[in-house]
Amino acid sequence: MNLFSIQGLTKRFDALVATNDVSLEIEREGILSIIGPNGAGKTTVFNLLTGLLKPDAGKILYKGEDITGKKPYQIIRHGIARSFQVVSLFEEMTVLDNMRVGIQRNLGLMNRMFLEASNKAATEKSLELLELVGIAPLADHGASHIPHGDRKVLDLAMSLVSEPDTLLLDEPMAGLSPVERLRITNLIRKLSETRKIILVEHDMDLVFGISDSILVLHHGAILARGTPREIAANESVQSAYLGKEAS
Amino acid sequence: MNKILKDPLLWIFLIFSAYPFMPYIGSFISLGSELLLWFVFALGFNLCLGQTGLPSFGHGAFFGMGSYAAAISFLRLFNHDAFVMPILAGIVLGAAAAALLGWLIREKKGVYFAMLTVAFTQVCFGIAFRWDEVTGGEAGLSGVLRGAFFGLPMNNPIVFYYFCFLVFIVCAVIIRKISRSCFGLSLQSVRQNPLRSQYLGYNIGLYKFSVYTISGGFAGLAGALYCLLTQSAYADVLDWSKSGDVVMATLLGGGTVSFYGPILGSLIFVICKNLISSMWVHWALLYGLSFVIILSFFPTGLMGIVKKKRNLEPRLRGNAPAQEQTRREEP
Repeated sequence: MNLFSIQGLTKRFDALVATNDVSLEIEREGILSIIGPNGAGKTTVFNLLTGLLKPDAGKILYKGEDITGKKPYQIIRHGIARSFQVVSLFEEMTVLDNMRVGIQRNLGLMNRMFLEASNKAATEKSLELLELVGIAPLADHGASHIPHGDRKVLDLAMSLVSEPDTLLLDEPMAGLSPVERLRITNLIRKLSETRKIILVEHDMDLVFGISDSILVLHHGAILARGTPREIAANESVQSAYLGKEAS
Repeated sequence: MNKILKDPLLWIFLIFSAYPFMPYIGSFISLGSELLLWFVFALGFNLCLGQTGLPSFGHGAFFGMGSYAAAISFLRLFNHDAFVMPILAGIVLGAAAAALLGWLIREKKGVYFAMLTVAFTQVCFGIAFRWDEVTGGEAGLSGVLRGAFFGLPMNNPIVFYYFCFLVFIVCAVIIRKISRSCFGLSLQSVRQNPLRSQYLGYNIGLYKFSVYTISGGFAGLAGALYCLLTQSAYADVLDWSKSGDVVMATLLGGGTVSFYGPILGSLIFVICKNLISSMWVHWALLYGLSFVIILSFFPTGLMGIVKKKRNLEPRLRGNAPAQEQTRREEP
């Protein structure tokens, strides 16, 4: 059974068709990149898959289960997690507390009114994960006070808390320096060993470097799909990026 | 030991335990009781505003309902002879009303949330003001007596003061415990970044609903105590301006950045209302003006100034190194 099975997915914003009758099967392993010119509907697809938007038509099956129209907090329980284009943290909390929010939910402690938020179980688990992604030394710093690259890593780490088997990354490289890019690329590679990664990205070096398969969207519809080699050679993809519409 | 001595709550408790014996203000014993019940009201309210970011103007309604519930149950249900039951009735009605409203508006955001709570409060005011048979209409209900509680004569103002003091201690400890708990952290996540919170698996509507209910219970409790203090209940306590008062007091004190903000804010408000008003009828002008000035220069309120000075740590929880963390969240 495929991981995602998407049938006739359509989303309109008034007259604009952001996602136009997209049907797609996504296999269980590897890294899938979604690319396309600006406004091609990449983020909309992400939002549809993770329940932020409700599709106007179509169906989304995840591991055979219908998740169409479910809310984000329900979708995450199916094992899907995402990160955001703009880093999305709890800005007034410390790095550690940012982790704790997710961890305590995972441990089932989130409704305990008389258990300290800084309890041992949640703290240990949080530090363990911070250790794993390499930002444990920053644990006690305010999330808004650490370097951008580390914020990006924290954002990723928070997405991992629910132990998802599918991770959707929306432009993980946006605004990063070359050194930080390398760091995130390695992290994504490492993560992809044990889970499916779907990413939207403008950085073509990354996309063609690490993807197992690439999906090209244009005007909300699928333009092409294939291995990086096939996509690079695809003429309609080239004209979508370089043709008169884009120029 | 040192940690306990540094705890501001301990000092607040100590100061108020000696209140009736203080020179000058000690003679205003009912002012003391009113302060304490306002602390409960404002601390409970701040679970919504400071902790979860819910701009509620409905707490005056829950306060008023607590007040009416105490009066009506005393006069009609318990035959003029009860002390604890009217208070419980106040808590239950406050929480129930908050639960009802909270459930209806749990998915609403910002201004829409605020406006719906204002509307709710006005409806309640209208009902209380007109429904003569039950609420006594314009005249309100009077004749609520404070009976004995475990043999203690509650009609003695000092004894009643210490009862309020006890209630305040219990509530303050509970509310602080909640705000620092796992549940409290969940609420904070809802305030700081609802989108992220959802993607970490939180059903944020449910959290808004629960905290609103809890907070309404505390408002109802404060209202019931107010009813016993004034020995009456009348529609004025239900007015939306009451809701505005608690919002203002909480913001002025700095409830968005500190657990103690609401205590400081309501201390100032209640003292202005009771003492300065006796000297100058236009006291509200002074209060309003200082509110505007303080909030325009220090959006995080008085505790925000203190925190900035001490360069303290993220709100409400105390376990990280020094850094400036006094951003204003939209109220």
